Amino acid sequence: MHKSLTLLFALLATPAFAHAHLQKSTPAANSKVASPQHIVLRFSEALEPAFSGALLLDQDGRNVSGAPVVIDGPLMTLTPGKLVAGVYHVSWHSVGHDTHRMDGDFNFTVK
Amino acid sequence: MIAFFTIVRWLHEASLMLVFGGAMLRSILRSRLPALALPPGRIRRLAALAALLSAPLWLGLATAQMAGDNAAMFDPKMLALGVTQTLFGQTFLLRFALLVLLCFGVLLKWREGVLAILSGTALVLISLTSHAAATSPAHFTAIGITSDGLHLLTGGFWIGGLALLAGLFARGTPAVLLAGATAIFAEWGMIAVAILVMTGMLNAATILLGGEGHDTATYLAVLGAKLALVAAMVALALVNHFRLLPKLAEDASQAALLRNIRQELGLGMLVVALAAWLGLLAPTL
Repeated sequence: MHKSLTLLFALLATPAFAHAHLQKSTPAANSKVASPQHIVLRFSEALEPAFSGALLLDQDGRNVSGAPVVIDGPLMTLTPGKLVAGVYHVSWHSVGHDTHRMDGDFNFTVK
Repeated sequence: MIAFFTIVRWLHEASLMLVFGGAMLRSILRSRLPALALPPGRIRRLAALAALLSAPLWLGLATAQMAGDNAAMFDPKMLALGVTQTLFGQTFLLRFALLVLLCFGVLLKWREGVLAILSGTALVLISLTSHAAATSPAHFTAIGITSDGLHLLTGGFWIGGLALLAGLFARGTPAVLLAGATAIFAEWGMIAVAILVMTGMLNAATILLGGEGHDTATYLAVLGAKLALVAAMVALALVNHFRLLPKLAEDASQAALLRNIRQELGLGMLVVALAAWLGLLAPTL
């Protein structure tokens, strides 16, 4: 039914706009890892660096993002310093060429 | 905010479509039906001005959207960042220059072909930042840009051409010339609608089947409404072509044809409004 509706509506489309979804992150959400050298977020489309970014917070809410976030196409890379054991929170916002903004977050644990 | 943004986008795109479609049809009619007296073009002067004035509004709203803060649309630093550091902003600069030229061209009555190129280029450049471009197969954005650009141009020809035809009917053009102009519009209109539907299918397949996540119910509902309105436009066009056009010498048929053209144009404006709204909705979540 869902695909039928999609095909029906496919008869006419519109110049619609996308959103840059988070496709994958390293470390993955809710994973337990050794202190990562980089945190890499891959989005579904190229980002606008001027309006996209991310923060890394430790379990006390302190900003431990380290070096400025590097954005290259659909990749966003954080380079924190050595992370001690604990739960970390990544909060990101992405803007694609369509100008739409997406926000999201996830946690990972350093063993 | 989304309602205001939708209105701004609708005003911008509909105005550009009116100018582009009108200039294209005027150019064709001048060469194929030289005896036809064309309307003076007061509405298209207003449309060109509306397109010019709504462009910076769109930039401001897009900057606020990118920044996630409505106040950003009044912040010169954020606006400068939006213009200089984003593809949308850089495209805006080029489009704005074209729109300024277009306004001069309309006022100074430049050649229709030049006006069609200026308005068509300003229209098609919107596709650079479209979802169809972003979700092109294998990230080959030229596919989405081409498809979306053709969709805008053919839609513009249909709507702008209808507006010009309505003007010809309203000013009491002789029936034989009206019949000629309507038949010429129908010839090109059929090609335009065929391309419009094909590119629409390609865009929809790309956006809905190629996007991330699940299609949203709101997006599908608005797209469905748009489809229904376009189907109604096509039905009116078929009635015009096969029932009313052959009897155009009769006054009753002329009045009915003018009424249908106005209704078709009104539906077209609603379709552009829905397209503007769709542009602000998430196709998938």
